[in-house]
Amino acid sequence: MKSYNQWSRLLLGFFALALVSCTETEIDEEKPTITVNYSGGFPQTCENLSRGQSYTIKAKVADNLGLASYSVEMHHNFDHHTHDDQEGVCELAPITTAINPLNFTESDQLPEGLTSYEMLVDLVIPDGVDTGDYHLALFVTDVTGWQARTSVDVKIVE
Amino acid sequence: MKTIFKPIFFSLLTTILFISCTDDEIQPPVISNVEVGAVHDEEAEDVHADEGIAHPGESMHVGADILAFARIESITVNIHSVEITPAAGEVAWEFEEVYTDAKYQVLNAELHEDIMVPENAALGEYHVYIIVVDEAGNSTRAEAHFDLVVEEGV
Repeated sequence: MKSYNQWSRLLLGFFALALVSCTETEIDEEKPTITVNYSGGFPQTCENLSRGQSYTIKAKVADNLGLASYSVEMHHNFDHHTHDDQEGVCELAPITTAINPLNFTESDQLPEGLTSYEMLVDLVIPDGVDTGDYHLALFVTDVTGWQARTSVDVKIVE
Repeated sequence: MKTIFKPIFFSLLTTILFISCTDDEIQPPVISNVEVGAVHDEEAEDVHADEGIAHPGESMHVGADILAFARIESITVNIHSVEITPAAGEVAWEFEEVYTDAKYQVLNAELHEDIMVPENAALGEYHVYIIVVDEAGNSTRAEAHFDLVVEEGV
């Protein structure tokens, strides 16, 4: 009887050890979220952006643990490609060849320790760039490394 | 009898512990939904009508979904020809670029790059390698191929 008691104590100790050594690596499975789909969000799908004007991109980002960084990218859609995370599709101009398309990229860290935030990014549309259909892609990354993306169809006009 | 059981039980337990905890070892990245080709479609019904085909002097698209278990460090896109003998004035086109953009240094990335095919690229079959390296030093390579052809009706 006595030896069984010792044995079960040892077992208990072992399981405790297993629990401690294994739960340290708990994994964050939740991805952040990003959207421009609220009143005040900018740009909305099919927004017209004029050459020579400056705009402020506004998007709401959130995460369960903590936000880390963002990235904003604008590239032409003269070839009518799609992304898997598009907010909506608007009527596209005919396919054209790019001559001087706008290529805009900006990345930065978000303030530490936040689980929700409205990110603001300044965007200037230079004078000489090609008008037409563009995608504005917005990325947010959480502290774990999960990324959320959204892509908005916009147009650059005269 | 009991004295025999104890060591066996003990070693069994240790084995279970090992198995349950080695799951933590980081797996290499997984690459899926590889798309390569000139994505042109007037009707916008079948977006991938030109999948696997590209044209000289035009841009082509290389895309993939990547899931990594440690943050992605870099994504390399390599394009090279297969058994192509270029004619005069043509080249067997080769392309390689290592992407380390912030948008790719995550656990779940969507690779999307538009690559310009040179005007003088020789027609024929080309291979595309997508190589993903994570911060743990793991790497995964996906392969795809496309044919470089002259666009019909041009």
